[in-house]
Amino acid sequence: MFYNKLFGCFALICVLTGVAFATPVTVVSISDDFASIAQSIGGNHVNVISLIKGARNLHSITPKPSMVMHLKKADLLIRLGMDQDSWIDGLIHVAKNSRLFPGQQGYIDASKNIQKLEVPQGSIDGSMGDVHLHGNPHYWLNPENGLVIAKQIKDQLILIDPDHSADYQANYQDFSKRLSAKILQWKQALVLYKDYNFVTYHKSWSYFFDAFNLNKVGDLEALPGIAPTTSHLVALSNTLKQSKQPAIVLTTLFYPKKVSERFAKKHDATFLFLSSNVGSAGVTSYINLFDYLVDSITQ
Amino acid sequence: MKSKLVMASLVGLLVANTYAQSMAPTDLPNFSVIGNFLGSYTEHAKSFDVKEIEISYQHYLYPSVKADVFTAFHKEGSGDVAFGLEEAFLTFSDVIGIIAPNINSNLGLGALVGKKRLGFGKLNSLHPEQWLYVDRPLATQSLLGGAEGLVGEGAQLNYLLPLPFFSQIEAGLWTVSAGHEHEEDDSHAHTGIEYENRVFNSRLWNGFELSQSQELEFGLNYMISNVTADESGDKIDVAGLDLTYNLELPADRKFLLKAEAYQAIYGDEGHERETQRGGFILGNLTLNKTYNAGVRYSLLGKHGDEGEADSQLSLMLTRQLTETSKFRLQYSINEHSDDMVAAQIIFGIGPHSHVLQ
Repeated sequence: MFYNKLFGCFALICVLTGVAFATPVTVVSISDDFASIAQSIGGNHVNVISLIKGARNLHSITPKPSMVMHLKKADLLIRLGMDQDSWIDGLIHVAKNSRLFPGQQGYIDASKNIQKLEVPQGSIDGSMGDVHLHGNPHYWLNPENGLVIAKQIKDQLILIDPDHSADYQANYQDFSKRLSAKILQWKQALVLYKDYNFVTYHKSWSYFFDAFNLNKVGDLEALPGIAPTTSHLVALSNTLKQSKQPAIVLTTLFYPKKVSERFAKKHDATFLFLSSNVGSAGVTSYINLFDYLVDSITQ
Repeated sequence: MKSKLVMASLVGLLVANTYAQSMAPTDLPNFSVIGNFLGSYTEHAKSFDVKEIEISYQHYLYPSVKADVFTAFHKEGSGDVAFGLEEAFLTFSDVIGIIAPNINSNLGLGALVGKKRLGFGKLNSLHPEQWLYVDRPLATQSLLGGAEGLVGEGAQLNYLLPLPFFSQIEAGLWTVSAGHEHEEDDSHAHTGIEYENRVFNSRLWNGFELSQSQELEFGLNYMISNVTADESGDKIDVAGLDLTYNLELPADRKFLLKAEAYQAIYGDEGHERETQRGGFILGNLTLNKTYNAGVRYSLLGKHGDEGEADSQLSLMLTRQLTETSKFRLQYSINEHSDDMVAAQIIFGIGPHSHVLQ
């Protein structure tokens, strides 16, 4: 009897410790946006870390040794791709984590299945500004692309951790359902703004406008990555003046505020200085990012 | 030989361009061109030089193996333009995985083979387009291979130590290719250490995340040159300490503080070995997406009782034109030579990346 109880206790301890010490899959994401999606799909089975917190200009990131430490422990890396985060390659080499080498199970280029916008045709050069060879890289700002990214993360998590494939599948279904329902709500809320004239500082919002059928009339930057010039602003002003529709000037948090604010004031336009990423301005999740953006525009 | 290299390089670029324009998938490497134009003015000399046109080829050979080749057209003191191999190396990120692909050891042992700028401190391994100034600090030039830096052919092992913070140990054996080969065209003629023969180089590189926006790195470096010399008096010992502090500020602003200190023990020909110390400290503030400003102070001590100590104070202002192109002004106040005003344009064409340094 005593031995039966002892065996029972031992078995119980084994089961409990097995549950308690089940190692979660470590996911490292370049941004909080992909991290939020990964957390939604992975649930309790993943430990998600973001290399860049909140809204930062992804074109000017300084890679740091602490990022290497995150990559060293990672089972899965989610990168932006489109040649916009080539500094990640340098980190992968220093981290020497074979799971994350390109083509391996632990490597996700989130741009892989995205329908890219503004892909240049023919050859490009600096006379066009900082035009990106593979198109506009701000693709997470179309929530439909969030569904594409989520599917890629789900598929990869199932490969890495097949024991929890049912949970990943269920979480993906739940996330897709919630996001799809929200997309309908957001589209409904923004339908009143389809005739507004949107002006942005940089071409950061192309995917957002495309998703919600909004009308952008121009950017304050003369060319992508090239600071606004007087002649360009005059031309943009003339375009706005020719239209009777109200205007909204939308600038991402890390771009110059003053020039955008002055331009908005001059044209009696609404000025919005918004985060384009999870992790800034109180935005807590990928779905919350679009709630915040839609609320900011419609309020 | 050099003309063949030039021809091969140009043909390569042409082929790459043709493929790129046809938008066909290719297995060609990433090609890039970096241009470095420098104009300088002192009381006794003024010049404008197409200092360097660097052509790089970067390509993965295998998931954990990358090849980097950097060639350059470089203006010599005579005015002739020379073509040479700046760096060419293979980086093996998983040595065990290459030897035994079925053993997923993740041991963290990497290797580097080829011709490379030596990893001594943070600065020596950087290319000019990565600098925050137009020239290397006074002490670094004198003690670490002149205006171009210390470059060697050989191999290096690196190991990421299993610690809770970033700590990588590196050890390499190199045959140095005199880092001051272009000294005659440099206004600050190299008068420092003449490296020769084999060089053993080691570095312990550590990094600490102080907060979400602050990072501190420090490195301990040690190098022995002429390691196979029979006479210990012919050897050159150099020890170094480097410190880097990064602070990320709101609105995409950044502050960088960087310092390196060196101690070299070496003897000039026919003389006993003596000690010489030097170093620099640099502060740089990225004001916004377009501008950054910096100040640098460099100090070089006497070599034993020989000569006199020297110092240099430099102010830099950089205007970032695009992500890959910039314009820079620098004013340097030199204790024992003319003050200098320099203007530099750096431009980049095509994809270009460097390993974390």
